[in-house]
Parts: sequence; structure tokens; C-alpha cells
Amino acid sequence: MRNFLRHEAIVLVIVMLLAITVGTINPGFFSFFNIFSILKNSTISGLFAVGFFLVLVVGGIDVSFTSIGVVGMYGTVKLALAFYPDAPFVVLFICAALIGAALGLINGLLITRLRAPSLIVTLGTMSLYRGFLLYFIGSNWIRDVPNAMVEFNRTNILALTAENGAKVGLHISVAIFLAIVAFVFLVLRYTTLGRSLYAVGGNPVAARRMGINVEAVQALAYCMAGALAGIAGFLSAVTLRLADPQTLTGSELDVIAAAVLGGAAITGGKGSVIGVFLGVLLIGVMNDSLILLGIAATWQKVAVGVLLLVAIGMPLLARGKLRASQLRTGGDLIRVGGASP
Amino acid sequence: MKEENPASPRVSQELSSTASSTRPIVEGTRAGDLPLLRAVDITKHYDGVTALAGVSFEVNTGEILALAGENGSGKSTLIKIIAGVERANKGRLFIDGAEWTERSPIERIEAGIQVIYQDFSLFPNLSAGENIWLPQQLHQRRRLVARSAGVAMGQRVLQEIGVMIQLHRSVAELPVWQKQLVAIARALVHDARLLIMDEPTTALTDREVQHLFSIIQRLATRGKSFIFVSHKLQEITQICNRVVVLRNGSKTLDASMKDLTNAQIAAAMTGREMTPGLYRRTQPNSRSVPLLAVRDFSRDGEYHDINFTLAAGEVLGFAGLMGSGRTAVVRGLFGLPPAELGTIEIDGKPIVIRNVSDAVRAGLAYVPEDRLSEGLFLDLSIDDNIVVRALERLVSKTGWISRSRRAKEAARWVDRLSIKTPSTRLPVSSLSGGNQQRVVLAKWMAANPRVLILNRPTVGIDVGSKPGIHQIIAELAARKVGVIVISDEVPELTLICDRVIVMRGGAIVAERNVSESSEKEITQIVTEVPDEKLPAP
Repeated sequence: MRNFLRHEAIVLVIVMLLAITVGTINPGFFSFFNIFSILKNSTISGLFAVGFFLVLVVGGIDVSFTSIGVVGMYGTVKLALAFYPDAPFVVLFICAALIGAALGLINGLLITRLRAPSLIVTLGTMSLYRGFLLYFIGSNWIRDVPNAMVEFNRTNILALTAENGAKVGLHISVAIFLAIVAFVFLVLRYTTLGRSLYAVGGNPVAARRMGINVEAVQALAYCMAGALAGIAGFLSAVTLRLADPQTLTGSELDVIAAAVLGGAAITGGKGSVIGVFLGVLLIGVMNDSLILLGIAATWQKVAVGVLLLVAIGMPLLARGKLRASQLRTGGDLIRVGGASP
Repeated sequence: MKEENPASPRVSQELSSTASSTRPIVEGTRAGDLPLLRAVDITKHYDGVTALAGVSFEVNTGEILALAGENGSGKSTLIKIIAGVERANKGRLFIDGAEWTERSPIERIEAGIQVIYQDFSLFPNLSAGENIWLPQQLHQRRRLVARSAGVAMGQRVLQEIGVMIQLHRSVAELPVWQKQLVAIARALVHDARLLIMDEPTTALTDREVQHLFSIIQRLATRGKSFIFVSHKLQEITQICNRVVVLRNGSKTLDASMKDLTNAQIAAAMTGREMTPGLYRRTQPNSRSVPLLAVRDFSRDGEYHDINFTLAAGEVLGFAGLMGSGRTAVVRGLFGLPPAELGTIEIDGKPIVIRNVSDAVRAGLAYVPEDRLSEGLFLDLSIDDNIVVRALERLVSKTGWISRSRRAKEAARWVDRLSIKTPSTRLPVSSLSGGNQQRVVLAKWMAANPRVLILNRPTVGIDVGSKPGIHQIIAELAARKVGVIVISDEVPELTLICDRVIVMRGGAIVAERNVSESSEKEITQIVTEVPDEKLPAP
């Protein structure tokens, strides 16, 4: 537990250092407008990252999240326009989550039943879901999205007036994101189900021996990741007021980087939602600062890539050091008195 | 019951009387005196192969029962059937006299039967405390975790065992012996009454084994029962009250320990009388130029001023306690890491060894003690593992590795070392520990080394297979290979070596010709300075 906190503290310090540096160069960084927009821009990838993280915790990997998000979003819009154009926002929201959960469950069942590597399965379903969407459901932009989505997009939970008189608002999707982060945090930390996710990721054999239904827990993680991806996809259409079946591709890297930066490990059982949230924030702040500092957008990808390598490299370096110090003791790891001359 | 608590600051000798305010770990022997566990006529077949043929035995409250037998004798199958992970084809199981044959593994855990697996089955990513309380809270079907109550419970149990472990540390950071104690504490939190320990000492040093034994004995006096699964005679005789021996799926011995000699147990395990084999060969060629000569070998903080020679065809033993520097010296010969001072000569010519490749080129071979991490490619086939050091000899004229030559070479070693496997194409991970050790031996022997260094070659190998390994060592020496053997067991060294060097505190303190010395004398030198420290974490 301490380890995680230590890691999170490091990420937090990096975020703050970055913010202070950029804020000194360009004071516009600390304006409410900018901070709110960082949060709003981080919402979609943040939701994906939390879902992605849940799958990492149980020791799997799910790269199909953008496809699930698009199917959830586009499917919901299509369904609503066909059957219930006046649907209230909550209904649309739940519908997207359910479509996502169903697709995530398919991932989970394929992986646990076939005992197939999750990366391969989700690479397959990533292509499958999107292809299915484009062929059977539709491939056109829908500009005329249900009214509830348009209304919702205008909702701010916090309206402030900046010094120059412009109105700035904190978008409600940020609140949804924060609520979900809080919910997942509580589940992972304070429920036996949440701890079972970590147990399964840490040692599936031991988990089975003590009566945890390992397959069910894994399938549930994929299912939850799918639901979060569906919600993320839906919210992306809300903010754009446009249902685009080709959207979200290429945003995978930011999501994976955020989760890994936050301390999640591909080997499973590691990390926390707080860490992932900070990772999302770090990527968000970094992308924003590059724009504020007038650095070309192409550098964003370079920066994210470098961050990702650093995040993965640091623990490996630490482990290498540990291993070297073990080697130095010459095999007898435990030394008992008088070994030194 | 033997009271052999090693002097250890970590084991507080008096039982914590404060624990009386809470629930005691065990209620003590009950009146009816039914055996805690009774297995009757347990039979198990796997695809026509009989793993267990009608085994019956009992475990009483507060008893430490040894379940002994060689690899493949049916010990693990029997454990799995008791734990409920496998179903017996025939036979019945009783707990406190009530029939439990059909109950699920979870129900058995709830009845107090707990297996402590060899790998401990812990969650490395969770804290020690959570490893202890999470399983119990899952069994209670709690939805929300009760963290502080769990930690308190863990602390209480550790206090009753008499050890301190920092419960907030993640299990991955703990040394092996503490991991084992976490596994034991987890079982105790679950109200375990019978702890089945599967080869609990394999990963422990001698000192840690003694520490574990004192804990087992302490728990046994408070009414916990143990099944101690092992093939190490020395440990069985030290800790157990009664022994059940399996051979080829049948019970060959079930008797109280005080009526038995080691030879009887060994005979029951192997099915033959064990006469200490003598591996006397013609005296090694004591030419003026030794095969290997090490002079003034030193490495700061590890060893200093090491001088010795090794003749072709000689078997040289290295004795000493853990940490005496013996492993560091031989690893130094192999460049892992190299010595800082001193010279190495082969056939009188000085050579420089900076790394493993240098050592291999000089004709040295090192078989490590930790065969799993240092010696083998577990996922590759037995074939590939054996020939990996001999590839250049297997290359055909066209430059490709000849498959048939490779298979032939591997088959030769599998046959010579009697490695038990249905096919050499199977991965090494499919073999038992003893057979894996043979594959490591085969790998290095296939490279035709001039000097073979064996670090504790018979650790984790059952009694019946040890003479096989000793025989191989003797044969190698007869072919003029110089062999260096490190071992914890002085009897083993006096059995196979020509000469024994004793190390202590990084220096050589004695050198004895086996023919002019005795096991007793060498043991005395090894243990001269009693060391009372327990390994610091």
C-alpha cells in the first residue's frame, strides 16, 4: 500500500512542478478557463483509463475500449433516434453504459472461456466491434443527435465570471468523471470485491485455492471496463454534439500512458485509481502546456511517448539495482556475522 | 516432544498471556479423543496409473505427523485429496469422526484443514496484513472490508506464534521465511486445526528451518496438528512424532518416531537397504602441476586470501555455514562477480576470468544451487536444455544444428542420469525437482568441462536419488574431471570427496584429507563458532 502512495506522490509532484513551470512562463495557465478546459479535455480519456486500469488490475489487458466506446455511443444515438427521440439524458447514458458492458462481457467471456491471451482477443474484438458498427449499424456522421444530449452539453455545474467578463463554466461531464473515479476508488479499496480484483491480479492460483471465482472476477473487470468505455464514448458525442463512427481512434496511447503513469502494471495487481487519475491529469496538463507554450502539436506524441517510457523504465531500473545488490552478496543472500574480513 | 528452540531473539519464549482475553487459538485436546483426521483406504487412479493404492492413516490432535516418500510416491496426490482439490476414486475421509468424503475444498478449510503450499499461495502485490485477513473476510461473505479489525487479528495471531512481521509491508518485499509465516498466520486466522505443510523447508536456510520448527512445536503443544510433508530424513526425525511413509502409492511404514531408526525410514522410502555407498576411486593423480590452482583470491567483504589446488580426477569439498563465503568463492571462479585480487592457473598457466564466458572457455562449469532461477530454461524442452552448452559439437558440416545428433546427445544423458520423463521434447518445467537438478547436471556435463563446480547438488533431491548423483560425481572424477562440491552435509562430503576445505568468515580455516580425518572432526571445525543470530530480514 505504501508503495502505491509513494508512486502517487511522485506523480502528483511532477504534475505540480509542470504546472508551476508552465504557469510561470504563461500565467494564463492558472486561469479558471484553462484549468476547467484541462479537466474537461481529460474526462473522456480519463474514463477510458479507469476502465483500462480495472482490467490491468486483474492481470489482463483490453485494447478494444475505443471500439466499445464508439459502438456504445453510435448505437445509443441510433437507437434513440429510431425509437425514443425524446429520451431523457439518463436513459441515453444508461443505454450507452449497457451496450459497453455487454461488449466488455463478450471480451471477458472469450478470454476466460478460451483461456486466450487478453491482448490477442481484444485486438480481435477491437477490429470486430468497429467493423460490425460500420457495416451493420452505419458509417455516416449524425449531426442531429437527440435533444437531451444537446441540452446536457450546455450544462455547467459551476459558472464563474473571469476578470475580462467572459463566463467560464466547469462542464458537468467533469463531475460525472470525478464521481465515477470516487466510486471506483471506494469499490477497489473498501469492498471485498475490489480486493478480490487485486488478489486475482496478484496470484490467480492462490485466489482460486481460497475460493475466489477467478473467471467471474476477471469477466466482471472486462464488463466494468466496457461500461466505462461506453460512457466515455457517449460523453465524447455529447461534447461534440455529433455522432461520428470514425472518432476516438488513435486516442489509445494517451489512455494507456495515463494508466501506466499512474502506477498500474501490465503484470496485474498494482496501482490505484488515484494514481490513474493523476496520470490522466499529468497527460492533460502536459498536452495543454505544450499548446500554451506554443510548441507544435506533433510534439505532444513525442512527449507522451517519452513519459510512458520513463514511467515504465523507472521501476525496472529500481529492480535492476536491487537485483545487482543481491548478486553482490554472492548467492548466499543471508549473511551471518563475520563474513567481512 | 523435543524442545529444540534455537536461541533466537525473534521468538519470544513465553507465550503471550495477554492473549487470554481474546479467543485462544485452540481449545486443546477434546474428551472423545477421536482422531482429528482419519483417511480410510484412499485410492486414486490417473488414466490407468495408480497414484494411491488404499492408503489409510490418522492424525491426532496436537500431533506432528511426517508424510514421507520419494518424488512420485503419491504424497502430493494424498494432500490434494485431503484438501478436497482432487476426488479419490475409492476411500473415505473423516474429520472428528464425521464423514467428509464428499465435502468441497472450501468446506474443509472451514472445518480447519489448511494446506500451506510449497509456493505459499500468497498475493505478492498485497500487504502482509491483507494476505492474512482478506481470505477470512471473503469466507465470511463480507461485502465491505474491515481493515483495522483484520490487521488487529493478524497481529494477534503473529503474537501467538511469537514473531513480528511488519503487516503493512507488501509480501513481495518479505524474505522467504517471513512469507511462510504469513501463510501460517493466514491459516491460523482461519481457525486451522490441521496444517498440512508441503515441503516447507525447501527454500529455507538451516537457521530458518530451526526457527520454523520451534514455531511448529509451539503450535503443536497448543493442540494444532501438522502433516509435515518431506523427504528429508534429518528434518523428519527432528520434528515429527510419527511418520507415514509412502512408496509407489502404498503405505510402507506408519510408526511412532521413537521406535525408528533413520535407516528404517529410508528403507521404507526407497524399498532397499541403504548402505552408505563408497565411492573410493584410484587416488587422483598428484602430479606436480595441478589442474586448477587458486592463489590469494580475495574480494572485499566476501572472502580473502583463498589458496587451494585441485588435481585432475579429484573431488574437493567445500564445507562451511551459510555466509561463510564458500558460494562467493566458487562464484568468483566463475566471474559472478570475479575476485578483486588473486590469480587462477589452469595446468600451471595463469588465466583471467572476468565473466562467465571466460570461465566456460577455460573449461569451468558451475551448477548453481538455485537450479530454477540460475540453471534452466524452464519453458524449453529437456533436449534443448541439455545441449545448450554443447551446441558447437552438434553442428553438422553444413552449419546447421543436426536434430538427430541433438536428440542422440540428449537421450544419452537422460539415460545416464536416469531422468524420468516420457519424452525429452517436454518442457523442463514438467519434471520434478530432483529430475530438474539432473537436467542441470546433464547440461554442464554435456559441455565436457575440465572443472565441474557443484553447489549443493543434492538439495531438494530425495534420499533414493542421492546415491545416483554421487555415483555420477565419482564417474566424472574417474574420467579426470576435477570436481568441486559445496554441501551443507558433512557426511555427504566425507562420502564423495578426497579432500575437504572448511571456510568460515570468508577465509579457509582448515583443509583435511578425508582418508586421514573423520566426519566428526570436520563437523566440529564447521560449527566451532556457534552463531546465534537469526537471519536479519
